[in-house]
Amino acid sequence: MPGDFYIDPHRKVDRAVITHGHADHARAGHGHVLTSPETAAIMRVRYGKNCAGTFQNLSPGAWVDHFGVRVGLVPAGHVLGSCQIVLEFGGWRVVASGDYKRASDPTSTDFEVAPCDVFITEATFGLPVFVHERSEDEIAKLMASLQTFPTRTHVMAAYSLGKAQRLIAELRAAGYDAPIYLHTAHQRLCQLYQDFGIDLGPLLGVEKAASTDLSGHIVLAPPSASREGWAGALNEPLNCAASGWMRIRKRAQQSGAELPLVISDHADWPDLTRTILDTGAEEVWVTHGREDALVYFCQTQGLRGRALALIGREEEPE
Amino acid sequence: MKAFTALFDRLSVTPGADNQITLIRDYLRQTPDPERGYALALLTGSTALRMTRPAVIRAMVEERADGALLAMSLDYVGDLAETVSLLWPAAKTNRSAPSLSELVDLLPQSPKADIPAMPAGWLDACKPAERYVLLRLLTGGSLRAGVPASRIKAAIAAMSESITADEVEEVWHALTPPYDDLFAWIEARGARPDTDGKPVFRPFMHGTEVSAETVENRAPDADWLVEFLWNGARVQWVQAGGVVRLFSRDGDDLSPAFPELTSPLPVDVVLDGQLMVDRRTGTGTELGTAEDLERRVQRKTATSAQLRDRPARLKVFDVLAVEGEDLRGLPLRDRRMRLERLAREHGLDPSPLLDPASVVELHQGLAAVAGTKGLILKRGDRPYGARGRGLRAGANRGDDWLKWPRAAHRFSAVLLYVQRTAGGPSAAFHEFTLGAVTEDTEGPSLVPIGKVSPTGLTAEELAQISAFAKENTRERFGPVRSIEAGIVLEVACERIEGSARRKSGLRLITPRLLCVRQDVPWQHAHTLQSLLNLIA
Repeated sequence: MPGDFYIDPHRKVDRAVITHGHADHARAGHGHVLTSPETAAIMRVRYGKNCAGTFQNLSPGAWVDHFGVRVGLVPAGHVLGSCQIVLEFGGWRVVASGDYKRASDPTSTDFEVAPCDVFITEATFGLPVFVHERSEDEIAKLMASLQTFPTRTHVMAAYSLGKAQRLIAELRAAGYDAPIYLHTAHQRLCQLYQDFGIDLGPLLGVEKAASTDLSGHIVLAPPSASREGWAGALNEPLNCAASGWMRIRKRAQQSGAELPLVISDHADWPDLTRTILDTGAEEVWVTHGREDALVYFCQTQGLRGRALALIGREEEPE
Repeated sequence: MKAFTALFDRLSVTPGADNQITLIRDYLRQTPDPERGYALALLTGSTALRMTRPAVIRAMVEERADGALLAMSLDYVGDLAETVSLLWPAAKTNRSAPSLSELVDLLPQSPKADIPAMPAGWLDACKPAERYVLLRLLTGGSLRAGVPASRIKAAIAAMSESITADEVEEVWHALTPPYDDLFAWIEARGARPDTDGKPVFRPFMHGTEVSAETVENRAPDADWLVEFLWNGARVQWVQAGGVVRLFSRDGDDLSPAFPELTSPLPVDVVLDGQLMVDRRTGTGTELGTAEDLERRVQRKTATSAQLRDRPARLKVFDVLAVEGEDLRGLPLRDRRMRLERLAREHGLDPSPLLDPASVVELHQGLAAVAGTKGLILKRGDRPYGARGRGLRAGANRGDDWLKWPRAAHRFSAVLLYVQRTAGGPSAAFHEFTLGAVTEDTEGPSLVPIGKVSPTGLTAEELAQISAFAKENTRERFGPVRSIEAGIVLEVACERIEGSARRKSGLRLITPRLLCVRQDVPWQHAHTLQSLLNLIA
C-alpha cells in the first residue's frame, strides 16, 4: 500500500491510522497512531497512556501528507471521534468508511458524505432485511416498559463505547431524568464523553447501590455482565438489548432479552446503499460483514463491487 | 394494529405468566372496543382471518423487490412472512395501517376480485413489525404468541377488582368476538353475560399429588371414593341446547378434532373425564401412546386415517350439570349416583369405583391394569370445587382429591444441554436435556432422550452443574449450550413410551430429577437399550 501505513490493523505496526476506538479496530502497541483527538483519548483510557509510541491528532477538515499520500478524516457518525479515512494519491481519492451510521446520534458528530473514486464500505448489516427503527420509537418502548413494570430493574446490555452513551443521551432527550446506573465497565468511558462536553445527566455506579435502589431503574451493563452477582441479586430483572440484530425475530429470541430494541450504531441497508451512490465512487470494496448482497447491489448499479477479502488473493500473482 | 403489534412482539419474548398477564391487561385497558375484542380473538385463536396464501404474498414481493436480494434475505431469515415484512419497499402513502376491526369488517364483505389488490395497499401503510403481523393474519398464521388461553382469561379478570379468572372462564365460550358484553361486565357497565343454554367451559377441580404416607394417614372416618388415575388428557364434555363441545384442560375447544365424541345425547349434560386414544392395528386394538394422543389434539381437524386407526374415547368420572341444573354444589357421592344412572341410560363408560379398604394392594397391582398411572382418592362428602372459586365452603385444593401416582422408573442419565433462565443468577437453569449411553465401534456415545426441568436438585447441586457447564461448554446456541459428558443425574419418570419420531426411539413421560450421581462415571449411566427395555 502506498504511504507505508495501515488502517485499523489487527497486528502491531509502525504506522497506523485508526477510524474509531472499538477494540476490533483500535489495538494497543502500534509505533505511531494517527487518529482523531477523541479516538486517541478513548484509546488512552482503554489501554493506558503508553498504548502507542506516539499519537498524532488530526481533526476532520485538516490534512497531513504522508510519504506522498494526503490523509484526511471525515466524521463517520459511528461513535464519539469515529472518522472515515480519506486518502489522496496519484490523482485518486479513496475513502475507507470504517464503521459508520447516518441516523442521528446526540453523542457522535453526524456522518458526512466524502466523494471519492474508490469507496471501501463496511457491511455489517448488508442485507435488505436490515432496516433499523427510529431510535426515538425504540426508546419510547423502553419508557413504556418502565411504566408497565414499575418495580422491575431494566438491565440494558450495551457495549461500553458508543452504544451505552447513545442510549443514555437518547433517554435524556426523551425526558428521562432519573439517575441511570452504570456497571463499572461503563463508568470511565461515560466520564470521558462528559469531559468532551456531552451531557449524560445523573449517572451512578451500580456497585454502590442496594438492589432496592435499583427497583424501577435502568442499569447499563456490558452484554457479558448480566450473569454476574449483582444481576442475580436484582428483583425480577428485565433484560433489554439494543442492537441491529434485534431486527430478526429468531436472533431477538435467542438473545434472551425481554425487551429487544432495534438500535444500531451501524448503517442499515437503505443507508449503506444510499451512501455508496452518494459518494459517486465507481469502484466499491465491501468489507466487514455480509459482502454478497452489497457487491450484487453495486453490480446492478453499474459499479465495480468487490469483496475486500478476495482482492488480496487476486493480486497475489502480480 | 400498532398497539396489537407491540403487544404481540412483547409477548413473544416475555417469559413468566405474571408478566404476560400484566402486558395483556394493560393492552386491554388502553384499547377501545371493538379493537381489543378482535385482539382477544386472535390471541386466543378464536378467530383466524385468512384471505390469501403464502405463494400470493411471495408473488407480490417478487414484483417489488430484486429476486436475488430476496433469495439471499430469505436464506438468512428463514421465514417468508418475516422476510417480506422487512423487505417490502417503503411507499409513500397517506393511509395508516389498518385496524384489526377494519380487517375483520372488510374481509368477508369484499368481492373476491378486489381481494388481491387490497393487501398491497395495507402493506405499504405498515411498518415492518405491523407488516409481519398483517402477513400472518392474511395467510392464516397463528397470532397466539405462545400464551395459553387460561392466561388470557386471567388477564381479562385482572382488569377487574371483583371478577376471578374462573368466572371469566365460565362465560367465555358463550361469547363471540368482539366481546363487547364481556368488557361491559368486567368494567361494571353491564350484567354478567348470559350463559344459559350455551355450551360453556367450567373450571376443573384439581387433585394434589401425594405420597403413600399421606394416603395412609388420610382422614379415616371420611367417605373416600377410590378410582384409577388414567393416562390421557383431562377433558370436559359439555352439551347445552343439543350442542356438544369438548374442552381441554386449558379451556380450549377440541371438538373439531374429535368428531367421534361430539354426537349429542338425549339430555344436556356436563361431564368430567379423561380423553384416551386407542391404537388399532391389523392384529387388534391397544391403548395409544401419549404421542398418539398429542397428534390428535394438535390437529385442527381429524383425518379419516386418524379416525380409523387412532379412535378416541372418553372415560367419565364426574357430572357437573344435567339439563341446565348445576350439580357442582352436591357432594361427590350424589354426583356419582347421577353419573351412574346417566351411564346406564346412555351407554357412557364410567371410571369404576374401587374398594377403599384395599388401596395398597390396588396400588401395587397398577402395572397389570392397562392405561392407569395411579390411584385417586376423592372425598364423597365434598362439592366440586375448582381452585379459586371461593363459592363453596370447604372446597379448597388439596384436601378433597388425593392423587397417588404409580411408582416411577428410576435411572441415571447424562446431562447433554443446559438452558439458562434469561436474566437469572448463574445457577438459574430453565431446562436440561438428558442423554443415554450407546455403544458403537468408536466407544460409548450419547443420544438425547428428553428434556427435564431442573427443579428437584438442591442449590449446591445446581451450583456444581453451573460451574461444570462454564468450564466444559462445547457449543452455544443462544441461551442453550451443549456441555461435555460428566454430570450424571438420577431421574424418575412415570413411564417410558416408544416413539417413532425421536432418534432415541423413546419418550419419557413426566420425568423429574432426583439428585446428582457423584458415584457414577458417565460411561456407566443407563444405556439406551436398557431404557428401551422399559417401554410399557
